[in-house]
Amino acid sequence: MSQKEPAQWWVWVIVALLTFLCVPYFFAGTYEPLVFGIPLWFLTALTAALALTVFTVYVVLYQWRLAETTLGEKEN
Amino acid sequence: MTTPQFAGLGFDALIILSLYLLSNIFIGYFAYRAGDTWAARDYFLGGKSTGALVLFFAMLATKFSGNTFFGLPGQSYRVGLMAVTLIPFTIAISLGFISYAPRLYVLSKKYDYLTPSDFYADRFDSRVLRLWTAVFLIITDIPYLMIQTTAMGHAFVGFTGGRYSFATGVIYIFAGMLIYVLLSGWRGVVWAEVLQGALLWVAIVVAAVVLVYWEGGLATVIQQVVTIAPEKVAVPESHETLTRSYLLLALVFGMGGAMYPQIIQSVYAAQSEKALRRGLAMMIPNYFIVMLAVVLIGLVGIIHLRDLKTIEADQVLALLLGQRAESAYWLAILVFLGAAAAIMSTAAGVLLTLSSMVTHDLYRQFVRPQASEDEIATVGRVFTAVILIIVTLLSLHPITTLWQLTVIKFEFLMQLYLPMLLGLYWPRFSRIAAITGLATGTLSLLVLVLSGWNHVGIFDAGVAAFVLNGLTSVAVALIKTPSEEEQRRIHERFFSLYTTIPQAVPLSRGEGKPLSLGPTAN
Repeated sequence: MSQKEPAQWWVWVIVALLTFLCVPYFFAGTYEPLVFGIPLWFLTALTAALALTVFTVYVVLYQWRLAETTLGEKEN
Repeated sequence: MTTPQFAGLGFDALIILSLYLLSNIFIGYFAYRAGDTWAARDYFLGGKSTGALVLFFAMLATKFSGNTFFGLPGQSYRVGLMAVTLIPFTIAISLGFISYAPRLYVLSKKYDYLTPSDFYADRFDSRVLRLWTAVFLIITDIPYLMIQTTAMGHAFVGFTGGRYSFATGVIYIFAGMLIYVLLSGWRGVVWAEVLQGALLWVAIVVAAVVLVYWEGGLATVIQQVVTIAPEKVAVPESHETLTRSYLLLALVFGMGGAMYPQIIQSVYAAQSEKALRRGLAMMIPNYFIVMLAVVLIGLVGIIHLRDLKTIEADQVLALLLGQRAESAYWLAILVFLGAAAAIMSTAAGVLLTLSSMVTHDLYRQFVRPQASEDEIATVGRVFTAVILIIVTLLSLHPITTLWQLTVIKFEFLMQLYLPMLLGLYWPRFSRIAAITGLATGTLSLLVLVLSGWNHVGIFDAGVAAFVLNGLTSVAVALIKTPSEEEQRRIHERFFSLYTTIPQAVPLSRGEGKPLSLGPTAN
């Protein structure tokens, strides 16, 4: 894999978007509607948090390769 | 006190805890014998050879602390379902970390950094910044240590139903940490952290799963909270509150939390970039799992423990389990040990980091540059003892919640994020820009905090100060062109590294001299 860093604009745009979705702006002042007794806003926020988690792992594993080309560190 | 009377853990719990502590001390001693613990690099960073799995457990044990078992469930109890935002807050810390770690790792390997201030001093060629950042980090790490000793006090009171006092817990951890850290150094602490990381993870997850199961499942828990305390299930009405106390607070966590000196030092300690990436990739999903567990614990607390006072809420988990100590003794013991593991591992990591900064950044640089490795390690141990005594005394009377301590700490720490980030990515960012930006951020935050303004409009004090820090830094960098000499140095020593494999050109003494304590690790 060629040199890569997490410092790419699209990574942080996605991060910002997902973080924004973790805050339930569209449900301000309420806890309804409920889905199987659980507020929908909670499920939405939790899903966004899960997406942020998965995306961050992806960035760490696939968008970070610097030491091989800069320090000569072998990947294997 | 409104806490209901109930049976809690007894003297046998104290015996089990002491046996557990002794096993850590034993592991630590074993590690000390295995390595040259007196060498500062070995003592503080385990010889810079920590692999992915051990790094993962070390991150787990360092990051999850007394706060995980007390402060965060307490906050979850206080705010209710909105505590789900704790998940993105803690993921934000990883994101803040990966914004600087890749380049910082390269530099730390090339120039043999030991402490966070090594980077600031090197990048900006400034002893002033070394002193400032070191003092800053030392001062902000002290509340973090206080959180651990305070959490132990809460653990003793909460789990034993008041049988043992808050002070007993604080003094117990003081004695334990003194022996444990003095004997082991980083290598010992890290080895023990594999055990502690596993234990604390199991404890918090099992506690949440069992507590929710006893209530009849997740949906039942939430339904009951809706009935008992609907204000804790609803989203706040004000968009301003949502922005200031949730969205922007994620920034405070992300930038402030990523600047913990022990987190920065985990970059230095890794044996390879691959180990660092893998350790982190294992860590991140656990933020999700553990924070979800913490939220659920707080919710169960809302159902069973009405009217806990603000600071008392920090004991919610301990009180919930203490209530059931007779019927589920094993669970109470497990979580008690897990909490102790989290507290001790974090406290040990913080003590080591504090010690490394005092000896390397302050003592060696400004007091006795000719000090030997042995002298450095001895000074480190003496300092560890002194700081433990001070923090113990301060912790004996908690005046605020653990959450408040956390937020204040992050607000100061995030001021250091800017010179780190701009220093790594912007060649034009000069010494004078860094100093003026940092000065603006620090002073404005101090003024805001001391005059009682904890927010300015939608901005928390820390975020407001950060904005001022940023504007000043950028303005000075744009207005005042760095000298040719500074530009050349910045390019050659830093930015040329990120594009090519460096040639083996010997660096001359004076400017450009690699920082080294002795034989290099490479």
